[in-house]
Amino acid sequence: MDFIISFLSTPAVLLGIVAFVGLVAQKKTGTEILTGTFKTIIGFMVFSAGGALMTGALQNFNKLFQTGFNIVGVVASPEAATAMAQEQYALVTSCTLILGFLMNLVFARITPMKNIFFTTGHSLFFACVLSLIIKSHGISDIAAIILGGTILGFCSAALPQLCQPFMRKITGSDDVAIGHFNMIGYSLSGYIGKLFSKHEDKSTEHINFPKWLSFFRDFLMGVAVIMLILFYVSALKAGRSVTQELAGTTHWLVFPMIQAFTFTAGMSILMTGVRMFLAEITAAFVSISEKFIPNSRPALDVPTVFPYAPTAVIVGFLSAYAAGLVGVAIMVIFKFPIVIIPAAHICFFSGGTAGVFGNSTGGWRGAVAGSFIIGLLLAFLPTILYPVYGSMGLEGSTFPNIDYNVIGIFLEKLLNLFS
Amino acid sequence: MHKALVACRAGVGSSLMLKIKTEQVIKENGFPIQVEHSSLDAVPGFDGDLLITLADVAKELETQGLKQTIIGINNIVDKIEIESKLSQFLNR
Repeated sequence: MDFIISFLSTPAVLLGIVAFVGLVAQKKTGTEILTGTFKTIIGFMVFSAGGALMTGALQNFNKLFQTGFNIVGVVASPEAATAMAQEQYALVTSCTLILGFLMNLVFARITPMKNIFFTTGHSLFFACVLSLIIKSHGISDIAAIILGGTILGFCSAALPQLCQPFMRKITGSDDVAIGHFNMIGYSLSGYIGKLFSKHEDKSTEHINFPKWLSFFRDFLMGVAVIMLILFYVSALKAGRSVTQELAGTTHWLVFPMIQAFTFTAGMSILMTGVRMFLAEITAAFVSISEKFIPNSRPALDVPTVFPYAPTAVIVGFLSAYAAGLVGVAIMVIFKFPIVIIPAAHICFFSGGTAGVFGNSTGGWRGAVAGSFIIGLLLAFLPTILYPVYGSMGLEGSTFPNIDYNVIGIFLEKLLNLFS
Repeated sequence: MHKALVACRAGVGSSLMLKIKTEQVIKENGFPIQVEHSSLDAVPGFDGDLLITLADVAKELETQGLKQTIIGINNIVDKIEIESKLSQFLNR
């Protein structure tokens, strides 16, 4: 019995079993089944290893930042936060993820919201957010999985619907939805763009940008540059003795560079892991939905819309990051208990998409305004739930994405009424 | 037998769907193509002869003088688009 509980509460194994069932259902050959199952399990291990690297670098950053500036600052990176949560609530999180898939199919089947959410990495982060909030109220595992999975499934089917009017405009068809949990923000950006509808034809795509800015199109480069700046600023402010103590035998001015690149390497590894362990599960998910839910619409990751306005992505990234820095200034001036430091990759994907949405309705003005507002939301919303995660042992990172926080804050308030 | 790499920037969300759709097209048509999937970081070490990616990424890759044929897909769930572009590649 102990064996079975231990076996099933290892998330890697659990996801391996899901992949196995999916592969068998797709009538794959024996070798394909074995390969797919093993790759899923190995991929999850790779994901955890990348998360551990990122977490280590972030802890060093937090020490430097806190000593240097005397405030608690966290880099809002959901990957690192998820890796931390997975260490403690692995079983609940993994089961919530799987139930979330199934409930997404159920909601798509019985309601007019026919969106199937395929950005499974994002579903995993959301499953973590929901599990942490629900578990912080001392609810039992089974109840937490059922509640979390149902909410996750509902959001997966419902939230893409908010963006669909803009998706029709951007892509010129109704075949694809967006599947990325900032959907409340993206639709807001589209509506903000409408304020500039007079200038809709002055698109970002007419702007001639300096060539070097396309450097940021490779999001790992964006992460590396921003982390280098953050680490060096914090290390110089913290001073030699503090930094040297953390650095050990490394020179104190070399240490920040190594840490910044370690963080970026961790992210690259983590992404590789996500790619490995979700490939088979997503494939199974696709084949199930195509079989059982006719006329369903796939909700896909944000790069799907990047080809329609590549310059708007860069405009949105810069505008959202600027908003994040304004957020830092406001949090410092008004003495917030915590300062949320914007993470480059989040601003790139989330801000960039908000830029595409704003541009579709209000030209470059809409892109700038929409993604700036999104940047502010990414900065300020996490401050509300941070104490909840802190009480669950999550230190030094948090979940910035808009939908996680909007839905999470509702859920937190609701559960407070009952407990 | 041709070897193709399906890739996008992060290699997680959109290219995974593109890979699934590409595999469906290959299977339905019996195309002689094997598919691998990764992020753009795997492009320099890739030894096959075809890269399949999103249209905006394809534009960027074309400036890099790679030895592979590059196919850029606009609508990643449009099997007809994928099929016609793969046929074009095979009938060069």
